[in-house]
Order: sequence, then structure tokens, then C-alpha cells
Amino acid sequence: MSEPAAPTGHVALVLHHHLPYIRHPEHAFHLEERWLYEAITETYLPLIEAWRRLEADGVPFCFTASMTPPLCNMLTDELLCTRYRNHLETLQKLAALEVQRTAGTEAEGVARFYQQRFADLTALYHRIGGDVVGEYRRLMEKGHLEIITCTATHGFLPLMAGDRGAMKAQIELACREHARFFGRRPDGIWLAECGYVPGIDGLLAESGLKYFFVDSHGLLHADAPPVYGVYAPLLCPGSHVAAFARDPESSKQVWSSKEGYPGDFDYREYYRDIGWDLDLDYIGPFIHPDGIRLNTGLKYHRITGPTDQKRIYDPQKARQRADEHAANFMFNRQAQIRWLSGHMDRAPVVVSPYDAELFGHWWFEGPWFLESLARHIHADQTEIALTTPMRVLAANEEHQESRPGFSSWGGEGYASFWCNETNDWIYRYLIDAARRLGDTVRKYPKSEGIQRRVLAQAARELLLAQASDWAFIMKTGTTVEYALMRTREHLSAFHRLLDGLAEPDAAWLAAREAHWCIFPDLDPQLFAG
Amino acid sequence: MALAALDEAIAELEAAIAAVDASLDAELPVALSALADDLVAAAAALDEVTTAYAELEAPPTLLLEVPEAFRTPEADPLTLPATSGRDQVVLMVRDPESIFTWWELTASGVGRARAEHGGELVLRIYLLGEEGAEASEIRDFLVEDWLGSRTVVLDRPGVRVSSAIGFRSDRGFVHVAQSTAMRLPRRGPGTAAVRFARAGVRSDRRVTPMSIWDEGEWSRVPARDAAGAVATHRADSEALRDFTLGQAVPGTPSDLHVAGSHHLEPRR
Repeated sequence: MSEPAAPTGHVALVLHHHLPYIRHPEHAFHLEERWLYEAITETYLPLIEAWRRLEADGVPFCFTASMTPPLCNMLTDELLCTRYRNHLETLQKLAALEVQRTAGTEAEGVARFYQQRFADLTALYHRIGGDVVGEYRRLMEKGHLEIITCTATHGFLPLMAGDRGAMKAQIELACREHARFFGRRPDGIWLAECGYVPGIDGLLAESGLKYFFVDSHGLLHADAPPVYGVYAPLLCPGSHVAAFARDPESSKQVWSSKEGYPGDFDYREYYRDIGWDLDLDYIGPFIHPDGIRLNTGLKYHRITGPTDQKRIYDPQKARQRADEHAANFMFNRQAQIRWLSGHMDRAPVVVSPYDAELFGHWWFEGPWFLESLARHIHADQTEIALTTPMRVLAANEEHQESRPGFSSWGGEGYASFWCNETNDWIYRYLIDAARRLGDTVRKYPKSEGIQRRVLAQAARELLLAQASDWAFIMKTGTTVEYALMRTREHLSAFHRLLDGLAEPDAAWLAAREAHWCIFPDLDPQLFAG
Repeated sequence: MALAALDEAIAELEAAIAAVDASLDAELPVALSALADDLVAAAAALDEVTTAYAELEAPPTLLLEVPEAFRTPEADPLTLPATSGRDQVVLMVRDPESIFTWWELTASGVGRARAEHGGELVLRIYLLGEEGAEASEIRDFLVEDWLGSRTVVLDRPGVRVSSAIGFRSDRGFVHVAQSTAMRLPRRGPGTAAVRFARAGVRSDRRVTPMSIWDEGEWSRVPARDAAGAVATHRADSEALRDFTLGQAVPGTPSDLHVAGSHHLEPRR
């Protein structure tokens, strides 16, 4: 029996999982905290569900998943997990009520779909012991996921003004957190917002990282023209860390709001939710206690078209469309790789990175799409195969050596999305704070006891303030006050902690540690650079 | 006789005292008045110096540039320190065309520079040549605040740039603080030679360089395979690049379609 032919090329699907660290024990109900609960229900559990089905059916698959430290910390936080279980119970109650309310109407089928769905997700959540991170780890150990890390709090490195201590802390702390959650240090890193500046690769190498990702123009504008375009990685000179670049074509098919799959008329309409549509008297117990309307997750309509007259959603039809789109995506990758391989002397690698939360949260049918894609690639052809960056590095011994150019995957492709008239004022404070912390930890290299706790908490506060999410929110204009509050609060606490280093306020320190308890093993000396 | 002489001397002495008294009566008020004027002038000068010094020590007017639209009662900007207490200017690269730079000056830094040099406060942007070369271009911006920031459009992709804050007069420019140099991104590929490195993944999963070689011929880079035979890397790089650019997605630079330099310099 002959060996199966080697595929002509590979597709590396990368799912970037991230949410900013939001934990408010002081509020019984916090709007922004719900982002996590929505993501677990709509993205992480459905992805796990899809992967478990593939596993059960013996379908080989491999995806790359970046899991940011803030997300892993939240997914394993006792308070947030307890609140999430309550959230799931509430969803089930609401779905049961909805089955009654919609009885005999066109929407009843959708209500019953949600009732079954929430029951299935609750069962899955209990089956994995409420441990989403643990389930990802299990899938990693089985070889289905290549899990990588991201800068510790999604800090955007190009705007750290070359502060080695600040950048080093974001990178090395992320690797240590990854080891805490996944039992080993990561091979790769998703630089927050794909933000790369020449030289960062040296810091990545110091932390033992082997690869990272850039946007297409990061590779196309490398020091030397990339011989294989964006379809093979570059090795950075000196550091030998590999840079993989995003493929624009496959990105467009999924990301584009006009041409992308998620805009199909049969898919679920994101912007129609019963939290906004139904009477307050009815929906009141399921929205914010102050009567603030919000998305409940129960949406009855399909996109339908460019009209406000939305038709009722048909989950079965939508799932069929997701399957068709997966087949189409595969067909296009086959055609693309066929063409590329005619212009290359090696198997091209098409890197397709997406925010994981696109799948399920924004694009409800996204997890079905990914599941179908793995099934089609396995069953319908042999021309292309799924892969991960480490498999690519292991398969091809020779790589072009060149350093990518400064780039990000944000608007305009560089740093201006995070540094403009809406948010540039924060960098003075972030950079000064990082310098102050660096100076202080160098002054107290062997701190211990409460002094070490103060330095560690100050580092936590600074790291939380450095999250690129706040500048992003200030620019996009949604929940700006929350982003301002978080930036101000963490920087303010940072200075108060260091101002009181000689005579710490033990009670206040303990309160900050209890509230912002991310990174329990944080070593403040990371900031010494 | 002796008594007569003594009387005469006393008379002369009394005359002298009378003369001195008369002189004092006439000149002392004038002298005192002059002294008082001097004291008043000195006091005024002291006031002026004190005022000037107080101005030097006064906090800068821009405490925190929170955009007005975002200010809320909760977001009290004064909860953050207004200054770090050091003379500094920091430069950050935004994109191939522009930088964001911010500065902070202290009273002592300004006082020293003013005393030595004087002139007007300017933010100076140096467009630098390669390492060690003189600045190829200088752009000055008059500024008033000791604490401020500015986005500067340079429109010179790929250039090295640094910023300085200091005083400019007809005697030249003296800086109070200067940033480190940063390079703006290019809008196209660089011109470095194409090199290939052989790397492998060891059993401990470390990617390790095994050998490196470089050859210059575009898209045809001889290498050696595991058996030592000459291999050849072949790729129609231009077609690959055009293919990629033809599919550029929103979010990538608007001028991504502008091809950069494709010059390769063979290393040997």
C-alpha cells in the first residue's frame, strides 16, 4: 500500500483568544464583566463542543490558539466561574420562559433551539469541570491545538518607547503564566495587535519563543524582499525567531463585512436581541438590575438583507450554509495553494489568523464553520492540509533570513490606532510609570515581605494599565468611560503603592491584591530589564 | 603759653566739629535718601526675582491631556502625578509618516538653559542620516508649555528621527532634553541581500540555526541540502508579491499597492 501523497500546501488557522482582565467583586452585576460570560457561552464552549465532536469522529485536525494570560486568569478565577454558572442558569430560565412566550408562533422553534443549546452547553461546562483552560490543555496534549501565549496583558509593544524592562516583563511574564496554565512554556506568541518593531524578536528569543505573527505588510516590507511572499516564514537574523504573516485573501473571506461569509443573509443577526426588543416588564429580570438593556444572547432573526424587516432565524438552514461556506473556503484554499505552489519550490503555508471571539460571538455559526472545514479537508481531498507553525518549522529546514518591518494588524497597519488624539495622552503616564518601576526594582533587588508585595502589586497595576484594550476602546468610542476609569485607577494605585513603599498601608495593599489578583506568582524584578 | 596753645587747639577742634556738623546737616539726608532709594530698588528687584522664581516653580499649565470630551467627575486628572520631575522628551513612531512626541521640563533645566543661552523654547525634530551621520533636516516648532505633546507628520518613511526640546536663539540651539533615535517604517521592502538560514527543531523543541549562507541572485538562492548537494531556492517572488497585494484587505496600509524597491545587493 503506497503512502498518501504529501499535500501541496498547508493552511494554518490561528484563533486569537483574548478579553481584557475585568473582575469586579464590588458589584453584584457588572456590565463589562459580562463580556467573559458571553464569550464562554458563544465562543469557547461552542469551539470545545466542535473539537470534541471532531475528536469523537476521529477527524484529524490542528489549530493554533493563542490564549492570553488575562483570559486564562479570568477563566480559572473562582469568583468569575461562580458568576458564570449563575449566568448559565439565568440563560436556561430565560430560554424556558421564551418557549412559553413564543408557543404557537414562528419563533417557537428558535426558542426551543436556544433551550436545547443552553442545556447542552451547561452539560458540557459541567462535564469539563468548569475548567475551560484545562480542556484546551487536554486538546493541546492530544495534538489538536498548538496553544501559544500573548503579551502579558495584551500590551502593545511598539508604543512602549523601547523600554526594555516594560517589554521584557510583558513577554517573559506571559511565558511563565503559560507554563502555569498549560504545563510548559509556549513555542509561539501572538504579539498583541500583531504589533512588531524590529528588535523585539531578540526579547522573544531570550524567553525561548520560536515564532510570532505579523500582518502581511510586516513580511512584505522586511529588510530583504521575501522570496516566498507571505507564504513561508522568515527567520529573524540573530534571534532566529520565525515570523509568520497573515494571508490577505483568506482573511478577507472571513473578516470582510461586505464580502465575508458572516454577512450571509441566512446567518443570525447579531444586532437584534430580545434584551432590546421585549418589554421591560418581561425582560427586566434578565437585564441589568438598573433597567439598562443589554444583549441576552437570545436572537430570533437572520440577517435577511439590507432591511429592518428581519425574518426569523432558521438554525438548521444556517448550519447548512456554514457547511457550504467551509467547503467554499477549502475550495478557495486549494485553488490558491495550487497557484502558489506553481511559483514556489516548497509547499506554501497560508496563515489565516482571526480573533477567536469572531467565531460564535459575532458570527454565531463560526464554530460550525470551523468544524465543517476540518471535516471537508480530511474527507474530501488530499491537496491541502491543516498545520501549525511548529510543524512548519519542523518540516522545512531552510528559511529565508530577514527581519520583518514595523507593523500591526490594526487600522492603518501601524501604531496610529492606539496613538491618536483620543488616546495618546496615556503614554506619558504609562512610560513614566514603567521607568519608575524599573528604577525602583533595581534599587530593591532583594525585596521581601510586604515590600515585595507592594512592588508586585505595583507591577500588576501597571501591567493592567498597559492593556491595549483601553486605548482601543478610547479610539472606537464604545464604553470609553470604563477604559478611562481603568487606566486612571491602575496608574493612580501604582503611584500610591510606590509612594508608600517605605511605610506600606497593609490593609489597602491587601484590598488591592484581593481585587486585582491576576498573576499570583508575579516577580517584580522582571521590570529591571 | 601752653594753656594758650591748648585753648587755640580746642577752638580749632570746635570749629572743625562745627564744620562737620554743618556738613552732616547738609549731606546726611541726601545720603540716607539715596540709600533708601537703593533699598527700594533692591526690594523691587527682589520682588521681581521672587516672582520670576515663583513662575519657574509653578506647575505647568497642561497637567493631563485628557480630551475634554472624555472628562468626567470621576476621572479626576489630578489623581495622577502631573510630572515625573525630570527633563525628558520621548518619541514614539505612529506610522511611516508621523511620530508622536511628548516632553517635560523642570524649573532647573529651563533655568540653566535660559541662563546659558536664552532664546525661545522650541521642539526640534532631527531627521537623521545613518548611524553617526549629521542630521539631514531639522524642523522646529515653537512651543509654550513645559509639559506638552505633539503629533508631527514628517512624510519621510524609513528615515531615522529624534526629537529635542530646548532654546533657540541667534547663537544657535541648546537642548534641555533629547530623545533616542527611532526609525520610521518603510513603505516597501528593504534592500538587504537575500539570505537563507538552515534551522532545525531539536528534540527539546528549540529552533536552532545550523548554518547560514547567503547568495545574492534574486529568487534563486543556491543552498546545500543535507547531503551537501547544491540545491536551489526558486520562487517567482514578484508574482507572489503581486498576488498578495492584489488581495490586500481593509486594515492594511492604503498604499500597500505601491511597490517598494526590489533591488538586491549580492553579498558576494
